Formats: sequence, structure tokens, C-alpha cells
Amino acid sequence: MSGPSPILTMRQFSWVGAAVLAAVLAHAPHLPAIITALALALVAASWLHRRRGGSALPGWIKLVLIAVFALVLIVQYRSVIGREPGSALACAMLASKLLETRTRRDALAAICFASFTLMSALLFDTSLAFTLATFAGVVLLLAALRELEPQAVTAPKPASSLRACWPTLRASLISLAIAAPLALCGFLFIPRLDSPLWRTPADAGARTGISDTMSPGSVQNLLLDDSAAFRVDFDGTPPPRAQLYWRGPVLTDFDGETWRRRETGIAPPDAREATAGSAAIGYAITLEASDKPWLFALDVPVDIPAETQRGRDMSLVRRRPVTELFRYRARSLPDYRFDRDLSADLRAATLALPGGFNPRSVEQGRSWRRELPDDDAIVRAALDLFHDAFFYTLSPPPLGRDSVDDFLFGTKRGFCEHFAAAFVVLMRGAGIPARVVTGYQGGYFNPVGDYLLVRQSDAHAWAEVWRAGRGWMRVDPTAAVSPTRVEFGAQAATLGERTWYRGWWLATRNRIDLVNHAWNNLVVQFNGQRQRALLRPLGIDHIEPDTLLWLLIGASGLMLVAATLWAMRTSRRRAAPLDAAYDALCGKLARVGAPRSDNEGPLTYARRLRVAQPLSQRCASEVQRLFADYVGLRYARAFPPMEGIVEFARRVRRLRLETRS
Amino acid sequence: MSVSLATTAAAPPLDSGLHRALDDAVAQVNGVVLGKAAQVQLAFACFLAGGHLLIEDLPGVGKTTLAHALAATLDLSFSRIQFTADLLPSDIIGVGIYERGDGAFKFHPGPLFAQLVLADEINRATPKAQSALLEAMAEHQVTADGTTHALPEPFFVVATQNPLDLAGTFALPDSQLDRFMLRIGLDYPDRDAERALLTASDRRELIARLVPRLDTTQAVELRAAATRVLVSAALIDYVQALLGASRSHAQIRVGLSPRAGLALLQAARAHALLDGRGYCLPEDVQAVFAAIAAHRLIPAAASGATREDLARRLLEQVAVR
Repeated sequence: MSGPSPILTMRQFSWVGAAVLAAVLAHAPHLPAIITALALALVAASWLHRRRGGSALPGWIKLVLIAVFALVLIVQYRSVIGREPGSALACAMLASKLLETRTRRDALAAICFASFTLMSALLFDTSLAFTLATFAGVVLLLAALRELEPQAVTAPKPASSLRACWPTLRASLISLAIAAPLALCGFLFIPRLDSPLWRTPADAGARTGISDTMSPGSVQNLLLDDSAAFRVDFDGTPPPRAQLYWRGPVLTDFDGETWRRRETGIAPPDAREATAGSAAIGYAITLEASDKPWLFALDVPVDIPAETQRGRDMSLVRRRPVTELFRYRARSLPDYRFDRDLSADLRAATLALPGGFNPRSVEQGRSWRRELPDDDAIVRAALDLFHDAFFYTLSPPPLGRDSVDDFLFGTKRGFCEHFAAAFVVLMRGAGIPARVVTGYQGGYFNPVGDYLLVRQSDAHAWAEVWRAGRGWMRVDPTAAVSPTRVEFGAQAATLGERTWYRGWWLATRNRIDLVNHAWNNLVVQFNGQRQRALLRPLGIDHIEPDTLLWLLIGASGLMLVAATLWAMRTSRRRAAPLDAAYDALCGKLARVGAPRSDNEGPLTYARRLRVAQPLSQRCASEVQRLFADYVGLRYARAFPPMEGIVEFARRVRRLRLETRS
Repeated sequence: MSVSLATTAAAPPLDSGLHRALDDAVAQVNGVVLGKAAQVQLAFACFLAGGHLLIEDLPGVGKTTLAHALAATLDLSFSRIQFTADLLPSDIIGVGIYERGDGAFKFHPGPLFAQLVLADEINRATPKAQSALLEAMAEHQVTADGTTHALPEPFFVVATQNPLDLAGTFALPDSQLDRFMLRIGLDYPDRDAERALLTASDRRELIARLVPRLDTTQAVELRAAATRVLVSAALIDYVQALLGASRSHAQIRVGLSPRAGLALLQAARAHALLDGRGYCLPEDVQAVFAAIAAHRLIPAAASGATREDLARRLLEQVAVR
């Protein structure tokens, strides 16, 4: 293009502003409110400034703005590196860009940058709902681009502003629809790696989920969190609910307040020998991003996913935190034996109690050891204690410094973490090696999609005791208090009635979750392995990345050729809707007894209708006008204009013929 | 044919003065050749499209009258060649005669050197004389004694011929017939027209009283306007459908050539111009189709249909919107 870039009209500027707004809003869920507010204020300010016909802003204002944003960013993040500071910076810059957007060229740059910003929002959230929301942003971006096209400027402006938007939006949607096959082609054939090539720096602690520490109340937040933790597709029939203990971090060290994970080293490679029993259960887990390295598996995992370590405590730790949706396969043995021989240091660690804490509980354990014949009796005594006098509640009273003492001999109310912690302290007091296992228990089996949904609210803590000759054994003290918790889940246990679960919304929720599950599995988790699986039915067993690349180039090339041919033919195909409308007109006339013969031209036919006069006066004149318009559209121009065709078709649709009576 | 067509994109092709002059010219010819409005329109279309006209019918139905009326109405230099069995090419083209004073041969132009040439009863002449005329029609120039002489512009040949089954005629070969853009028949006049003809004064007197309605400049202008008449993609689709049907029709041995297709479009344009439109309609194509196609189609041996029948069938069978 030569010469200066044309100044934007207000209408064009509004479209660009809307596109920028959409890109900024896409980041709103994870940006600090102040950044979002600043960016939105800037967009609004530039729009108002432009509307008042304000001139270009002096440079110092831009400098001040840059300074303000830089200050806010540094205060908020202390860095500009990383996913969140980066996107905050992008949003701020994008909003400022609008202030200096005056010409078509500026607008193109703004739209380009807005596209990037919008895309980067997908680094935070790849759920179906969010993807659809960003899609709306893409529609706006394309609409703004279209509005910048020269011919759109000269187009007449319809009266209502909402109606004025529709043609542009529709054109944008049509463009997207045309591009869809190409996008699909890229999605299917762009060579995928089994793991991402790059990743954004993780934001630890940003998400709720199981952690490697447990202090009073830490699980409580989770129990009220309804979001999905992971979904499980079982290879065969799912095991009974009471067996669904999803093992997570194992907490051994207790300092009187907080339980902590202990590095136990890698489990012996002969894991199969260490475990024995019934047939293994195979399943695939799609884990939501947790920003933690913990993987969950049924008690206890035998086959583990790649890049993952199985600790001596049978918990799975991935090399990197799970910062995005992660799908893995595992197999577990429900009837297991491990650590038949306890090493000295592990025995010491699982017997250790912090000095000066919970004296009454420790003394209770010691007294059981003195009075009761064996370990079994001690375990049973503890469970009986819980069963007889304790309540399960999600809102327990606060506990003091000696939290276990307060709980056991004072409040007697609590939920899994209280029971697990108290139980382990009692066992250690009695000289039985014990530790806390965290994870999830149960899950909701979605009958629509045939998978198990485990929510954060299914988070659970239970205990493990070591018995000579038997190894580690799971003991769930919560089950002794509230069997409902294990049978129906935490919320059912607190609310008591299972009917609470029923109702139409449950079915709806199942379906929504099924859609999310399918989206995760089919789209977000589409990796190299799944790509190969997709091509296998086509007889391609092993495919090299460059073969894929050629496939991609070939397929997109074919589509490009098809699109070019289509574009070349489009002027001729334009006649097709006109033909259809004219056929409709002739059809209506045929139904009132004046059919057109195939070789009759419009002029002849119109004249014949005028002579024969089968129609009422009012109708006849409208029909004659329609014929005149048709002739004008089809024969008085080299190619019929689309607007005219649409108008003609509309009038034919509205035509109601009345015969002369 | 005067239908008002609103909302048309093509501009009116003529200024009102020129258009009125054209209408007057057509009306004047119709005043002499009674009851033959369609044929008169075709004759004018042929002139405006820059083609040559062949009028074929029985003696005495007004072929020569039409040609004379055209010549008198169009202010063009006119000559008439009566074709006979002993006509020689030089009788048409002209001869080089030795001029004693100059000591050189001088070309004396024949009757062909006129803007409107009436070639009467063309099929009574020998093929040799016929081809001299037909070549001149195609080339718009003649060559005599090695020198090429341009013919005047506009150059418009109106030939008449008797139906082929009459004795003493040499049929024009199919390839030569192609030189005529349009071939029209006149047929007997209908009852009213014939009565008017019988009661009115002598045609020759009428022709003598005719005044020129279009001068050479106007004629050239009109021909130029005819080439500017808009032809839409949809109309070309229709023309192609007609051409295609003529080539695949079971009863037709030889269909229409691309040249016939070009002639069809040109004639349809001129027809639209006569109707005062700046764009072509399927009706224009249909109006000129028989005159364009009938003398160019060659029926299959076993068809038994006349060429006119075939042209009509093609029009009936090819759909148009």
C-alpha cells in the first residue's frame, strides 16, 4: 500500500476496541484485579477520547502510563518473567496500544497483538468453557479485521446499531467456518511430541489440591471445593467404592502441628515381589492441573507411568509438577503387601512423636500397650473409641496447641484429618509404626460417560499401620466414625441424607462433566501417542514427524486449491441463490395456475401474465416489479450483486399471491 | 416490444434523438412491408450487428421490396446486382480497363462498391459468381488484377434467393451460407396485411416516396452502440446451452460453430438495442435464433425435419430462467 494509512472511522475504532477488550477480559480470571481494572479503564478512556474527537496524545502521557504499569507489575510480581507477569504485561500494553491507535495500520497492529494476547490466555485454562469464551474473542477479532477492509467502510449503515453489527459478525463467523477444516487438519497432522516442547514457569500454590503437608484445616478447604481433581476410566468393572482409596502423598513426620512428607527413596524395583494378591486393576487417570508433582493411584500401584518415581511409601511422584491436564495409565493391586521388613530408620520415623505435645494421647497409647494383648487389639480399641464417642463434621470447633489431645478428650468432633492424625498419634504412643496417607476416597461414577469423577471434595486422609509379617495396612479411622463418608462421600456424610444428591440437576451435572471429560481426552490431551492411534486404522503404524508434516502440507495444499477454485467459481455460483429465488417465484405462480414453460424467458412470461391476468391487481403489479428486478439482477449486470439477490429472495418469500376472484 | 424495466444497472444505450431516428426508420420500413414486423426487426438487427442478410422465399412475397425499403430508409449508397446464370465475377467486382491516355490499366469499380448492395436472386448465378460476392462480404475488400480495393463502410449485403427446389438455381454451399449472419423468410402475408397490400398503391411508388431516416454517421454510431450492449454471464450460459444442444442433438448432423455463436450474440445485442435496452435478454436470443441457426444446421440424414424445425426444437428444448 502506498501513501499514508487511512484514519479509522469511529465505527472501525469501536470494533478494534471491542476486540482488544475481549482479549483483556480473557485474562481477567487470573490477573490481579488492579491490572484488569487499569486495562479496562484504559480501553474505556481511549474510546471516550476518540469519541470526543480528541487528537493524538502527547508522548509524555504514554511515558507516564508505561511507568505506572511497570510500577504496578513490579509491586505485584517483583518480576516480568513468567506466565502471569508476562500476560499482565501483555494486557497492559495492549490496552495502552489502543490509546495511540489512529490509522488503519495502527489498528492492524493492535489486532495482531490482541490475537497473541487472547491466545496466551489459553496457557492458563484449557477447559471447554474457557476455550469457547476465547472463541468469542476470535470472532470479535476477525470482525474487527473485516471492518477495516476498505469496502466495509463504504457499506451503507443500517439504522439500528445492533443490526449494523450482525453482517460483520456473520462474515467473521463465515470466515471461521471456512477456516475450520484447515484448523482441524493442523490439529490432526501437526507433529506432536509426547510431552510439550516448552512450558511456562509453574505458579506453585495457585491451585487447591492435595499437598505434602497437613495441618489442621488444610483438607477442610478441599472438602468444600467442588471442582474436578481427576477422572478415571477403568479397563474393566470398577472396584467397589470402599476400595477406592486414591493414594497420594504419605505423611510421616509430625512436629506437633503439621504433618510432613518424608523422602523415603525409591521403592525397590522388584515391586511385584513386594506386593502380592488378587488380580490387578488397570485404569487411566486424567489429572487436572494441580501444580504439584503428586500422581494418584489406587492402593497400591504396581505399573506406573513414565517419568514418575514410586517412593518406598508407594506414592507416585512425577519429575515435573502437573501444570496442565495430564493423562496417565496405571495398574494397582487392591490386595497388597509391602515393606514386610521395616528398615530401622523408617521404623524410627514412623514411631517418632514430638516431645512435649499431646501428652494425654501418648499416655493413652502407652496404657493400651500395657493392658491389651496385641497390636490388633490396640487398633480395635482405637477404632472403638472413635466409633463410640466421636462425630463427623466438616465444621469442627477450633483446637489448641495440643491439637490431638484437644480433639480426643475435648471436642470429639472433626473430619478425616483429625481422625487420621489422632489415630496415628495413638498408634505411635502404643509403639506401633503408623503414618498418615493423604489422597482421595471414592469418587462419583458418571453412568452417562462410564467413568469415575473424583472431585477435590473427595479429598481424604487415612492411616497406615505396620504389622510384623504383614507390612503396611490401611486403617481408615473416619470409616469407624462415619461409614457414610466412605460409602457416599464427605458431603453426604455431613448432610446425612442421600436424597440430597438426587434431582434433575445431578443428571445435568453428569452431562456437563461428560462433555468436559471428552474435551480433555479428545482435544487437550491429544498428544503424539493419540495421534499415532488415530492414524493406525488408516494402515499407518509408525509415522515419522516429517511424514506428518508432509501430510499436513498436502492436506492444507489441497484445501487451498479447493478454496481458490471455489473463490474463482464464486461469482458464477452467486447466480444459484438467484435461480432458487426465481424458481420459488415461478413455483408460486404455477400454484395459482400460471406455470412458466422451461424455455420461456422472464420478459415473455411477465408479458403473458400481464395479458392473462390470473392475479389480483395488487399482486399483479408486485409480480411485475419482481420480474423487472429479476431481469435487472440477472441480465442487466455482468454478475448479479449479492445484496440485490438477498433482497429479491426476501420479497419472493413474502409474496402472497391472490387470484382474481 | 416496449416493457419498462426498472432497476437496471446497464445504462440506456442510445441518446433519445438517435433512438427516435432508429424507431422512425423501422416504422417506415414497416409501412412499406406490411405485416412483417418481426422480419423487419431482424433485418435491422442484422444491419446493426454488422452482418449480411439473406432473404429466402418464393418470388413475389416482397423480398425485393424489403431490400429496397431498407436501402431507401438507410441513407446509404445503393446498388443492385441482378444475379443471372451468365453473370461473371468481373460484372460484380469491376474491371481494369487500359486507359490509352495514362498508358496504364485503370480499375473501374463494379456495382459491389456501394454501402448497401442488393444481390437479387443470388442462387441463379453460377458458383463462380456467387463466390466472388461471398468473398467480398467476408473480407470487406476485393482484389482485381493484383490490387486490393477496400469496400465502403458500412458495407451491408442483402441477398435474396428462391427456395432451392425451383428449377434453374445453383444452391449456395453450406460453407457459403455461413457468410450470411441472418437468413429470414417472408412467407405469405396474413389476411389483413394482404388486403392492405392489395388496396394500397403500388409498392414501387411508395418506395420512391421514402425519405432517408438514418445517415451514415448515425448508422456507424448505432453499430458501435450495438457492440456495447451488455451481455451477462447468465445470458452467455444460455447461448452456450443452445450451442451445446445443437451439437448433441440426435437429429442434427452438424451443429452450430463458434462463429455462429458469436453471430448469435451480436445479433441478440442488436435486437436488444432495437428494443431500447442496454442489455441482452434471453428473448433477444430467442428472437434471432432461428434466423441465425436454421441455415447453419445440417440435419441428420434420417431426421426428415427441416432446418427451421430443428432450430425451433432447440429453442423449445433448452431451458432458460
